[in-house]
Amino acid sequence: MQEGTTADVLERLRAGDPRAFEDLVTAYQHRVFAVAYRMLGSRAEAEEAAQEVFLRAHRGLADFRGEAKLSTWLYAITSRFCLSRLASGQARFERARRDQAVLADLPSPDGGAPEVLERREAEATLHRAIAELAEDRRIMVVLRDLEGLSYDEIAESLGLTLGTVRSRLHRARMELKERLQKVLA
Amino acid sequence: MTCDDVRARFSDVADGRLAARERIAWQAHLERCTECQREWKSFERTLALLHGLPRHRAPEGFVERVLAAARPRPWPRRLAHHVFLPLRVKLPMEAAALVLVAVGAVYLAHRTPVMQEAMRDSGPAPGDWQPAPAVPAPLPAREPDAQRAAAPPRSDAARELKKSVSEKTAASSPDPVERALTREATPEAAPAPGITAPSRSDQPEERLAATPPEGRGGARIAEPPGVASAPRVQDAGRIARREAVSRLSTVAPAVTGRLAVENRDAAERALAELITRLGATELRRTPAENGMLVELEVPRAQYAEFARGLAAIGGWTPHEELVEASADVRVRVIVIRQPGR
Repeated sequence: MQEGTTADVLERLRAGDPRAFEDLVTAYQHRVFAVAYRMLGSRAEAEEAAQEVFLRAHRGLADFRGEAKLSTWLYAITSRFCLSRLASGQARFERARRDQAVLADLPSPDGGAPEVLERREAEATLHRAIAELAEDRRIMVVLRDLEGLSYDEIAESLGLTLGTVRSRLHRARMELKERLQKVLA
Repeated sequence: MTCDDVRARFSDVADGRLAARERIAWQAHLERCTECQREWKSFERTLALLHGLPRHRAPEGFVERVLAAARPRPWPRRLAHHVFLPLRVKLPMEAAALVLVAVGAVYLAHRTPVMQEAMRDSGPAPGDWQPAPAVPAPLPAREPDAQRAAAPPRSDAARELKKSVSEKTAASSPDPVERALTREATPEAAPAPGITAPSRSDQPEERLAATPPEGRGGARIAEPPGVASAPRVQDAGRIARREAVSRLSTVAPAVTGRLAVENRDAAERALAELITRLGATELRRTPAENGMLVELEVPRAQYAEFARGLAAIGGWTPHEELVEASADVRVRVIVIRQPGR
């Protein structure tokens, strides 16, 4: 959804147009779901979280001043909700769930060219490595490298300084590199 | 710039956040350090893989589910949600509250004499009539010492006094009906042969006596027909009776006696008139097949007249003389029918 369209959706949402909320969910569903899935590690949890994010956005629309992009605002709600959920007691079972999700992402032994197999193996290792990152580092990789947010947007979404974002992101990437290097060496 | 400095800036270089002068120094180190070159290539490959990962997509029907969840629910469901949900929190709390209220009610019922008396007096409704056992339990042989030893320890002096008076009366009476009535009026006493529970009677007249119009035993006698229609007098009678009933479980009768009559109905009427005339209050009535036990309170000044009135109704034999009493005298009259008297 383009920002011009976003402004239009916002206007319609504030005017009480019921179709506007549907447009918003349709436009952002995959982005919100993808972040939730990467953070929580299970499709069911991710769907539940994404639904809650949109409901919170619906309720909190009056508080959205429009200074940030609508997408950044939604990413902020998603990231904070997932981190909060992981920090609570509900996160105790997350590791097992993530492991199951990672196993599901492993390449199937269906043959193919050696380079394709090697790439699939590398992706599977990467999935596993992302899942095993600490939450505060994982969210950096997810927002920056998978969702393409800028450093400023990440800092705004999570309420962090630019320096914190920079250092956490770099450590997360180096950790992924180290894990990947062992497999690809 | 050292190797560590160079590697610490991998992300800055990749994201184009390194200043131009720093970038030149970084590049110069990389060109002459093969170890850093290998690290940088590995870093670049990791980022390339990351950026190439497919994005997970929301499942089919996700938008519809969100829209359905966002629709305002009807008010009964919202109310139910606020009252009952989350179930894991509110259900245990509501169950605990229910248990507390139940325990509190039982505690109050057992600790409050008025409540105890009210429960006893109310008895079963006419529809709740239950047959008594065909063979009533026999009266156990009197073994005062053994019975006392087997009885639980009692700390309430008034109840002890009441029990001893009852035992004394029962022991001194030759009449088995009188003994049984006396025992029945005492909570610890066992049922006697031929004596049924107050709540149950095979005789119509006994059912009438056991279930007065107000559902309170004895009120029929305390309120004669001419007075019963006056609400204020009824209220005063109820209040006096309630106050007297509250003392019932803790005060032993000062006088217990046996009233032998030929016609029980006539004796009941005469006793009712006597009670009304002297301003006495009937506390309890326990009907039985061959007799009846009536407990009442008589004003101290009227006791002599009351005793004369009983002697006029039938053969009044008090088991003990009135020695001293406060304002009212508690009297237990055991009415026994003696044909051909």
